Amino acid sequence: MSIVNHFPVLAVVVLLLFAYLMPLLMRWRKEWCVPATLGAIGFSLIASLYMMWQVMTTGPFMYQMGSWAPPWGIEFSIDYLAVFATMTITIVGLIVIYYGTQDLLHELKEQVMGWYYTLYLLLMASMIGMVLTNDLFNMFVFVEICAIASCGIISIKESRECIEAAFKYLVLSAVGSGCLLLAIAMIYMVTGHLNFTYVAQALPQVMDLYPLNILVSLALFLVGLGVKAALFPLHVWLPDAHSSAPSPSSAVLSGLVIKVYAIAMIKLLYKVYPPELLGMAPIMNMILWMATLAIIIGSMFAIVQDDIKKMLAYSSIAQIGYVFLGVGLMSESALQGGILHIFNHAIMKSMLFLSAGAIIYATGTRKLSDLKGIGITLPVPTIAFSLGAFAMVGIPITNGFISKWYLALGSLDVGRPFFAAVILVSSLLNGIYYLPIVVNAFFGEPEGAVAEPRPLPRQMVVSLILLGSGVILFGVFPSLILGVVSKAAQSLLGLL
Amino acid sequence: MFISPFYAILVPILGGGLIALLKEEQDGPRNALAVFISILTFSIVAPTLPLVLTGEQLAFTAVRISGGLSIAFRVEPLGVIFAILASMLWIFSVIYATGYMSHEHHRRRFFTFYILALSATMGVAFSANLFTLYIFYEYLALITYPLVIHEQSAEAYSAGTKYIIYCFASGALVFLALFTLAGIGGSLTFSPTGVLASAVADNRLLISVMFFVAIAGFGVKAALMPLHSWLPSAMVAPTPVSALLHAVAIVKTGVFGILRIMFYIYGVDTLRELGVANILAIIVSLSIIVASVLAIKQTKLKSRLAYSTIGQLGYITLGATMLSPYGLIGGISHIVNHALLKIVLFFCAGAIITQTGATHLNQMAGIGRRMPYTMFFFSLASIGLIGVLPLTGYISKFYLLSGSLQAGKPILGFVLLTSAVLNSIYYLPIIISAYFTEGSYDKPNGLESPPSMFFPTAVLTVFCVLFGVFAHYTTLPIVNLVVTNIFQ
Repeated sequence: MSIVNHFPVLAVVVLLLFAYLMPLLMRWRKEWCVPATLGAIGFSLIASLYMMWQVMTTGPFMYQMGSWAPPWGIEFSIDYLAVFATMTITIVGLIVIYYGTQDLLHELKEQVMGWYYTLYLLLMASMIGMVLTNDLFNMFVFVEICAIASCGIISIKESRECIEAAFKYLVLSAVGSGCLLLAIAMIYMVTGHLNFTYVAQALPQVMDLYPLNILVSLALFLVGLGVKAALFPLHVWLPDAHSSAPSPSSAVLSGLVIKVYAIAMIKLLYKVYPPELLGMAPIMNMILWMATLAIIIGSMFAIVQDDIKKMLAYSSIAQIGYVFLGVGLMSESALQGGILHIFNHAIMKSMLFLSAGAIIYATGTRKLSDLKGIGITLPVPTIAFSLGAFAMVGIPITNGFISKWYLALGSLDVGRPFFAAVILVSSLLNGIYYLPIVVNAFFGEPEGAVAEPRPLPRQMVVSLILLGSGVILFGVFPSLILGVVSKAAQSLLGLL
Repeated sequence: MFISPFYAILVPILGGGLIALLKEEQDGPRNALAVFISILTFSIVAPTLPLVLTGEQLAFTAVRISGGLSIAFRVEPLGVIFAILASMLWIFSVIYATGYMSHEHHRRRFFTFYILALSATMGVAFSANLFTLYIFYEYLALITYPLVIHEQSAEAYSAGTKYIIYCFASGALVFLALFTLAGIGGSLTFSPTGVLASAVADNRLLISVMFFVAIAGFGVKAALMPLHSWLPSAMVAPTPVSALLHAVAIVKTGVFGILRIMFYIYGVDTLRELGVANILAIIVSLSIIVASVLAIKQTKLKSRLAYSTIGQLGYITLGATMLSPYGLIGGISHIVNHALLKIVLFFCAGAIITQTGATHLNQMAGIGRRMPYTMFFFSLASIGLIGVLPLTGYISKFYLLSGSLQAGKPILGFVLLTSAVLNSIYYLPIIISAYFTEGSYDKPNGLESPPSMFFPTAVLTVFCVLFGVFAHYTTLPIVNLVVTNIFQ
């Protein structure tokens, strides 16, 4: 029995353990906080890479908590989608908190720094748990931890907007959690199981007896996870929450947290509910139309913003639409595109938020109209921002292009070119709000604080360079990640 | 292994980087470096001409992205024509720009992007598939934006915004066609016989629609009416930009894209079967006539040249839509001929603007006295565009007319003749008023414009004559090769 066999659970538990150690370390050995946090997430990263290697070489496997076999014990399902998601979460999470170690010092009071690391580690643990778990109730627990930790890393800033935004988020997210709990109860009522595999086996048998219960549970899942993933029109909390939070929080919330709920949704739709049920209600079409509206309206809202972080937040609403578009189209390429976009968007949006954070850190301004000429005085964050902007528009050799390419091909595969047109229109809309910023940044004359920015600490620059090279690397060599993504899509569609 | 397209793209990128490293005041080294890089690029590209004439083709895949997507290059006749033309004219334009820009601001930025644009143009020329072409097409738009807004005046910014919106809309249309055709036909690799023949039967309507989507996409850059309006506004850019980019590189990229779509993706047989080329011919004919009429109404010299460009680019597309060998020879050779003639016209316009400050046509009365040689070059080039022997323009017009008869569409020949008449209506009065009207201009002291501007113009004018007289030794052999491949 070696330790690597327990990596699935350790990836979560180590993070939880360090989360609770943080306040203690803060009082006792302040300088240990940062290395301990980085070390814990680094461990999870190694664990997820190891699991990825295992899955890619020997195939998906199950991990039983305490060797209790289901349906009594809780299971973790380590499949292609799960390892893909844990890898995304740990890589991006590590880079973001490495950046945060410097940025947070100026955004937060010193005595809450330890609590921030606690909340951040809890958030990471809950996200990893959510994508690994194979149990409905366990998933609900992680959803709750995730929601509370997210509220925590927003409201920790103690400004009026942050508290207000966090409260709004808390209320809406509680409604979402209520829906989820009710949905889980309904499933449990008709099947008597909570384990995904057992529920999936039981549902086709009871579908004729209790069709309404099952449909309502699906609707409740859609609403509950939709609120949390900010799927249009359930997105109202997102712009305030993501724009007022400290920049590393925004990066991780926009880049990772909303995607995790999308992954939970994918697992439920493709692995738990029987395909015949999807024929009973136009659920996939509803998701498609919500995604389409999200893409178009999110981009339109983003165009009129003057606050850099608010614009990025609205853009996230549009981008989560792409993920759900891939989920709803039910074709292999589209699902690949959607899943791939989870990863690509995690990289580019966290990079955009972090470069916005760096600009705010160095100049103190967050108004887009004040950022003239910033490309000359602050080249690294501005170039990173421009790269992110190009990726959002979907210019080739950035990773954004690849996910759009697969989504577009997918929509043609199923004979619905309308959605390919939606992707194109949204690319143009993205161009309308991102490119003027880039132009302004490089061709204006710097004034005021923009002309003499504070120097950026090494941690911020390194994080931005890492994420920026990721955007190019996965744009030119998408096969690095496509292997696991296409396996995930195939196994979800039952083609493997 | 000698992979010339790769170096032709790489050298200007590195060169642009080096230029960006020099300081704003280091004009001498920068100018020398810019000229050196363009000469180096030309000398890399030039050997491909004898290579393709012997029938050999070099192919090179840089990156396989995924699925059917790859960034790949290929040295084949049509690309070689465009690459040699562009890299040759780049040398002259860079020399000209060193003189023209000597009193302008932001020279470092200007030359950096001017040289980078060469790289994107080489990429377009040597693309082996539609995806690679699309990438370089988009990058060309991004790289040339700083050149369009160079003046940084309100007018320049609004022209720049218009330019970038048109370019991205055009890119989006090309992208739409790109993935649709990839979805239907599978392959996007250019082949002189087209790649869609087998897929037409099942998807006739979609393929026909995508033809117009792709043509509209590239048509924006080719300034096909009614998608042309960015071009006259972009004339606010410095004249070397107007000359090179808006008479040669960018607009010809659009035309080049149209040719690639028509003959290398769709193929002659597919086009004949779909019958889409006739509809395009009507649109292009209207574009030619309307642009020529609008050119007459322009009072600014550069705007008149811009509208004339729109009309002349129409000739190339018109030649392609005839789907006859002669028509295509005329169209492709007009890529070369129009580039030579129009760049001379723009160089003359730039010399006039810097030396006398005259931008409007009514300020140019009697300017022949102040700038006799420049106006002489201008007159030669403009009668060349009208199609007078022995300048190079007549070759393409002759073939275009023969092509229209060969294709059994004499009406298209009539369009060409009408346009020639209109051309003379808007060019000849400029020449007449320059030489035969009293103006307030005096004779020049010494050379009428700085040598770096005068000699490129003079040499290119000589080229215009040589390419006309010796067409059978210069453009026509390789153009014939392209057309034989297509019409097999």
